[in-house]
Amino acid sequence: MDRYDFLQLIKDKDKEIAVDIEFVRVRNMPDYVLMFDNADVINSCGYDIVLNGSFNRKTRALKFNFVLRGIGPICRVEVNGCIHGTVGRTHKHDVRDKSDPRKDLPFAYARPDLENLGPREVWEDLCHKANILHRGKFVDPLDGAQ
Amino acid sequence: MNIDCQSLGTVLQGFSLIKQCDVLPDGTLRIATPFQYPNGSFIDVFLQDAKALPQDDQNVFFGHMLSDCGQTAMYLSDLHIKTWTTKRKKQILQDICATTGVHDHSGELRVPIEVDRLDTIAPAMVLLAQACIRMAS
Repeated sequence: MDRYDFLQLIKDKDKEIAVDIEFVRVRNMPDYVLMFDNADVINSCGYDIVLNGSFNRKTRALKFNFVLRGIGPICRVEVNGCIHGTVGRTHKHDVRDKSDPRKDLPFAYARPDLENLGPREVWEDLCHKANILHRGKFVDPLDGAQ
Repeated sequence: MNIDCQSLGTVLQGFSLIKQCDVLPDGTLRIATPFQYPNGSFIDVFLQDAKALPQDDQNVFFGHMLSDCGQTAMYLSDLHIKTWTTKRKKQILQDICATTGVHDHSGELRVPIEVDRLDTIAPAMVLLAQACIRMAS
């Protein structure tokens, strides 16, 4: 997937996620890390895309990560995560070059507008900006979901 | 310009392992290091008092704990890699821990810092960052 393909995918207004998004504890991970995985992103561009995410209750780091199955990540929103380059802890990664999924998305730009938002608000902003209709339920990890 | 060992030492002596440091709500120090994961994100290490660990973790020593707070495992999960799913991956993780002296505690990489041995924090940070990079690679 190159930059053009990625932008076409963003524009696709038929994107949907039908499943619930619920962050849960995972075996073999610290008990303060909550994750979800393999939420299919239906789209009319023909790509096999899944969404995974994590919330670290200790650091309050939140992440939504879109993966083109078999290729690699194509878009990732991080709030209060690791500092990336000069764009700080809250930023968005996406595809600029077709090698980016293989390199785990080296490019990112700052999203300071997300810094003080809770997980639900970040999710709603992401869906709105990416033209995704979420038909399932979003279970906020701050609500004590297990 | 001629560079020799002495002048290089002078130039590098100001190099810091702390890019940024802040405090989490529970009092843990979050330290952004100059080391990077393969995608360019800076590796955080976290320092907390061992007394703040869950009761069943306080079984070995008194002092501080340096860890990655699971961030390396979370980095790998972005790539759909889970270190516990195959024997080979588990072996690789064990080998990394054995050669760096880092412990894997349910997905959290840790290095204990003994009480009154803050002089060991710098080499411990380097070892922990090395383990994070090797795992993430």
